[in-house]
Amino acid sequence: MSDKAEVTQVQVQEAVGVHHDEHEEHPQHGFWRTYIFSTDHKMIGMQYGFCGLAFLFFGFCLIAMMRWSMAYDGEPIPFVGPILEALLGSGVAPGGVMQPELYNVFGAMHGTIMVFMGIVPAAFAAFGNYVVPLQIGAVDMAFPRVNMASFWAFFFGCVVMTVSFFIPGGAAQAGWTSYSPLATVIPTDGQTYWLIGMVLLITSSLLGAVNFLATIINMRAPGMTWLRLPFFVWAQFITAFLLLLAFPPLEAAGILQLMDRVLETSFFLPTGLVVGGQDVDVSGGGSPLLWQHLFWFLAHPEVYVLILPGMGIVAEIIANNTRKPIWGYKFLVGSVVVLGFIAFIVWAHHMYMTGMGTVISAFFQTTTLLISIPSVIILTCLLISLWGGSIRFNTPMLFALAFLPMFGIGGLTGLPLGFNFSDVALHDSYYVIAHFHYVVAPGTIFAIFAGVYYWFPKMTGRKMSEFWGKVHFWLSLIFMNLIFMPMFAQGMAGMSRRMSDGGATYSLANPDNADVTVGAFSDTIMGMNVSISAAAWAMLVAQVPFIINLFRSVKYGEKIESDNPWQATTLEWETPTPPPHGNFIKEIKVYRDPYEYSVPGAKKDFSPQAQPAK
Amino acid sequence: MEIPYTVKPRPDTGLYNAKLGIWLFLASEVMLFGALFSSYVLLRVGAVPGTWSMGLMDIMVGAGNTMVLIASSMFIVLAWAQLKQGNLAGYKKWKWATIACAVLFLVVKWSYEWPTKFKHYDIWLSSTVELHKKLEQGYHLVAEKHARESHQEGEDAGSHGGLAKHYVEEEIFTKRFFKEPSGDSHKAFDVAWEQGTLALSGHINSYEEAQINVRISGWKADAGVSEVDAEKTLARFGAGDPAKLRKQGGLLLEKTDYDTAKRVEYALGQAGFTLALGVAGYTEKTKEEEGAAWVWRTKRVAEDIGGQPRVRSIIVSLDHSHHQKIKVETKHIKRLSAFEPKHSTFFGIYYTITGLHAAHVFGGIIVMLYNMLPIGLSMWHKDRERFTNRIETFGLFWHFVDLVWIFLFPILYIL
Amino acid sequence: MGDSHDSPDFLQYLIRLFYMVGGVLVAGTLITVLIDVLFAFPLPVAALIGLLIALVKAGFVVAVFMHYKWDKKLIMITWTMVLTFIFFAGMMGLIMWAEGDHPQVRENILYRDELSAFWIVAAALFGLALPVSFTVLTIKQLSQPAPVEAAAPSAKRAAKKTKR
Repeated sequence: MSDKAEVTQVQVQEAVGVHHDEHEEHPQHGFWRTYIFSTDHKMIGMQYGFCGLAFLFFGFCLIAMMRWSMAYDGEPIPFVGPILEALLGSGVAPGGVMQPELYNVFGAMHGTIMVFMGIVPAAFAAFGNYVVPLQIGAVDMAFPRVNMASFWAFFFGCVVMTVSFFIPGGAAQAGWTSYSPLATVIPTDGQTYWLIGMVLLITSSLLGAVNFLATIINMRAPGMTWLRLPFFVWAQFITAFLLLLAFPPLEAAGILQLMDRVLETSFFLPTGLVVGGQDVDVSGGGSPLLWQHLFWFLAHPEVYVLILPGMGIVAEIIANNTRKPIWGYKFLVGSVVVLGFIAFIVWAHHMYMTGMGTVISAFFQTTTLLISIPSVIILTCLLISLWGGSIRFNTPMLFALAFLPMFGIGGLTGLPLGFNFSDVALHDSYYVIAHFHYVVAPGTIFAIFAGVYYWFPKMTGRKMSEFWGKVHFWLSLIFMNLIFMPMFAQGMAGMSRRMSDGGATYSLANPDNADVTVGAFSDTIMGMNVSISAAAWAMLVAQVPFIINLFRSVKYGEKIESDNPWQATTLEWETPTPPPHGNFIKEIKVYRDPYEYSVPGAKKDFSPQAQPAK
Repeated sequence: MEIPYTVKPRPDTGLYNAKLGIWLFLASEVMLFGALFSSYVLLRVGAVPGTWSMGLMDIMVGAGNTMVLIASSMFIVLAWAQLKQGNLAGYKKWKWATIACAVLFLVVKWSYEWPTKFKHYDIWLSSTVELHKKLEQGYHLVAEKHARESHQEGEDAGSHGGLAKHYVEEEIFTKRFFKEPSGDSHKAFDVAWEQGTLALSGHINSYEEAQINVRISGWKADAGVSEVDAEKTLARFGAGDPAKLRKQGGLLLEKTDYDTAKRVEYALGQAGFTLALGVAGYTEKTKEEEGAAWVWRTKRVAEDIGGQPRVRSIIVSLDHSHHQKIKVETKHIKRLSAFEPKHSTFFGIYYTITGLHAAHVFGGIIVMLYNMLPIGLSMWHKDRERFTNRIETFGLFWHFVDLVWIFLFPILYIL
Repeated sequence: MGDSHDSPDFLQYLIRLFYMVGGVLVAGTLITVLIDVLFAFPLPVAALIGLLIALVKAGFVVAVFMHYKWDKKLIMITWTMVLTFIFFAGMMGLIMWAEGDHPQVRENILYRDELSAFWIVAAALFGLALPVSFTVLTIKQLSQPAPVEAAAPSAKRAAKKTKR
């Protein structure tokens, strides 16, 4: 065993050592190869990041318009109403008033854009591409050209999705879940575009996942053993596995639904389907629930795809800014592995209302509650890490700290949805919206902001403005809670999640009734529609400091003096700033665990992983 | 910058990058085809007994194609073994053999297996009485002959539709959906017979199609087309006196075919005319004369022209009836479908899975051709080991494609 | 493939093996067809036989054509594939279970009578035991001294060496 180990050690050093001499002779590429068709993981990471943030903003604009419809149904949207009418035609926005069809389009696309074109590229692909190879001491991803292909598949998927807004009839209307038979029988072409776009986005994610896994498994620097990987890399590793194994069933389901729409098969159409009073000319014999199974087989692991990179980012930042090692690193790693595993066997808790039997419901209820255990372990480890730390309250740390209670709220409010008896009451209500937005919006998106503020100096050599960062943070935190907290109340009052008028029609149709669950909504509940909308628009304004700060700091930000402005231990700070093609100019070896802060007896309060032990 | 482990395996994982990558890719492929298999199983066990048309698959063609794919899988690994020995000529020989097998596989599938199914129809009727009548018409001769040969005469020959019913159950229904007679098959057949969900299955020989009179009934001045332009448009479609037609209306085209009528209707509609299409009579056409509409859909026969159907009746030669032709009035047709994806969930999943598999084979052929071209082979002259690895990696993918087919063959053709 | 397997003799042995496995696969296909032609098994039996033969064929392809048999160190690959098949089986099994368990479709051939509380507990234990055991194993695997230790051979390893 040890003989072999010595041999292999030499081989690894040789193989990794090769690149250093060649680095200087690397030919300079032109503009197109450097910025557009780049194979460099850092540039691809930034491309992903830029697209991801842009689509996050776009998706947010969609919901801002929808919130107008919910608060002031039937009134023209100020400022953007005429633009909508000019762009999308007077059929869907006559005089700037949003019609229910347009509300459905925006609703479906808000979900799709935020999940598949916003958070996955920003949290997983952008930070993963930029940071993971640096943190494991690799020169690039294992397959740089596959990496480029992954980005361009993503890009074309986004193009298809965006174009679908402007085709006759507009984009997909059946919600981001695209349940059949509704999604199949809608006569407009938006759903077909959605499916084609999804196949491209899925292909991109699969290529990306293969690349991440191969990189993490095979490209670690000498000495970077599995348990010396920073927690962010572990989170990305499990995320990549989730994408690799959970996305193909959705691709299969997408192909089947595409067949249903284009070739008129009936995989998801039951026998005897009647639409608009007419028999549909299909063979029947399909199963609508099959779509839901295949969809949620992806879409539940997708939740962890959204949250795990965020947890990774937060762990890095908390360790760095508390100046002490993460508490329970092995617990974190074990939890994230268990989380990744159980994520595959919980999906049908989205389907309690489909009439499943009690036994299978009990099974999925049990697994769903089991999966909260590792989540709580992760959250607890991060909380305990704060204990006794000398915390630096800079902007990334503020976002990371806010992540903990916000994710906590999101997680705990998920428990009533995991129990099938309470889910029956809460299903498809605003409670669900509030729950998962607490997980992904103040959860993952805060982590993304934290990551941007934290790694910005590495990408550009300049820091973002601390003052405007803090303004951005406090405004975001306040408005985020003003948006989502009232939704819990609305949901428990019974407000359904898909009403374009915010429940007004429903309320009129059900005048005061002794039974509150079917009665009209009270004025307080209806009034929340307005306050939530106002908070959402304020939230939109609150992002302006961030956007200006981001672009301004590229040129005018405060220059950093060293390559390691945060005094961090992980490998990405060993590179020059910004890192050149090939990343490291000195030979990288790893001697330490990832978070050796404040080691007793050490000269400095941080001991980088690449610093040899005495 | 050079990426490590592109050629030599990393010592502690035992893998070079590409091999690791392709295995991970195969894992995702397992889930992709796994999801389709799951769909297959769920749809199948959920199917109403007597609707899973599996007995129509040609097992011998399937088995032949399986062996072709197995051979190609063996050839690609032999090609790799030749490269390991440094023998480029041997590699080329086996590689061409692999490509030939892959092409053969696709040719059999795309030029024989699929197209024969597209020419074969199932016709469901809306009336049970009509269905029994047509089956009797189509099968009474061959059923009598069959009964004489198998000495089953007299059993229920006297009752209505007795012999034909028996023949349809034994020779058509049971073989197609159940393979062997059993209690289930009897039950399913009785239900299908009573409820009229049986289909008439065969080829469409000829049909009676409408001859259409196109009549101008009016012209709107406010459609934004000037009188001169409108009349020019009319003249394009052979009107004798465009001005008179525009003002007073009248017969524009007589006994024209459907496609022309629809084209005229669209073009003149743009020019502000309102038209009335009417059926002048029906003419018999054979399927060969039609050309354009390769695969018929229900809509194609049920198209409504001024209250009358576009196709009045079709003449079908039924399966297993020694080409006994029967005439089916289209007003009785509930649904009509070739054995294309929309025929039933079985054919839907059959075309989807085999189509996706064929797409993998097609992609494989392109990669193999690339590796035979000078641009692909240049890697061999630069770095032999890396090229060998590349072929090994491709081989892993190719074996997986073979593996998928090994499972597809029994579940789609045999079980 | 390890370097020790690159010898010409071994390659000749491999090539012979490839031909043999090719023969086995063709034979498997023929047997499948023959069984179908000769016997009329009920569907469950036929499915069992057909899929078993397919599994054997698949085993040969993976072991020999994909020369998995000689790739000793594919721990990552083995884990990935094992996990993949667990998830695949989970997907298929749970979908079938869920769809067979709709109370309102008792004629559904997948339907089984309500299971006892035992199965709920068993399912919970399964859900807990599998990932935990997997994690423990993985952590154990990962905690072993890495073959690539950047620091000079440590005292720990030297001690181990002498122990052996």
